[in-house]
Amino acid sequence: MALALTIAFAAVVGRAGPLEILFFVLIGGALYELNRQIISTEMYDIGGSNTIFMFGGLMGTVVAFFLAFTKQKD
Amino acid sequence: MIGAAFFWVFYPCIFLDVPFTGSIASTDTTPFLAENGMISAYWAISTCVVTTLALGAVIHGRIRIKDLMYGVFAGAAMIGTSAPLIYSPTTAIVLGMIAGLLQPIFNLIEERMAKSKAYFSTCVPFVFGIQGLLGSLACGVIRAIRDNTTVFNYSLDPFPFRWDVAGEFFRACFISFGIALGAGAVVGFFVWIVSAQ
Repeated sequence: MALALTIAFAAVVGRAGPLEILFFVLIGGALYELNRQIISTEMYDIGGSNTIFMFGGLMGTVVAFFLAFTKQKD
Repeated sequence: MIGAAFFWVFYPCIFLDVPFTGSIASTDTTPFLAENGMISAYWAISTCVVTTLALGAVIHGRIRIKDLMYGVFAGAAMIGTSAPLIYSPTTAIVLGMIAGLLQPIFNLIEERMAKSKAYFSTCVPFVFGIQGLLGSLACGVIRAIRDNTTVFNYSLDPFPFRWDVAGEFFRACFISFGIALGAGAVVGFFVWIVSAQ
């Protein structure tokens, strides 16, 4: 979970504030565990290419796009 | 760069979590070994870094620190799922070489995209998203080839490939892809609510 959230944080670093990072980590950690439980019934993912890297990268990218479109109002 | 070096050294220790007894799935009768996964991960990461540096030097005419950084993560994301299943260095080298051949092209695309305001230039969707998806699809292919629960007639079919096993894995990979995008939408919605205050 730490590696996935670090990867996702790399996509939003410099753009999100501390409170946004707090909510990002809390909800993102819960959703990471949901994804891992679902995937572990279908495949055995020890190195985390699916549950860690792909989840972290795609989640961070989508959140970065959300932040980019909301911060344009300022 | 320091983070990439630490990742290179300490990432294969994640394979120490492999259980030693019993088969993991019904399609695997060969035992999983922690050392197997660690050695495969080192092979793939080293090959990916060398290939990325070489191809980046061919494209740009010089060695860039960006290729050296992202090659480590690309190799790790490519080998992650299938490392305990690989029993020969050749397979790990081929997987790392595929990731290393793709990564300079992704760096070019990322430098084009970094000019827009909506994208922050850390190469996260390419080096983790796409390479991770390719790595989990490669695990499906390897399991479909290495499946030894069925006795094949090699005279009729010299290269046996279990399409049903591969299909289950590909379905799981795309389910995870959709869950990741949906989780990004949910987290982005909550972050948007927080940032709107």
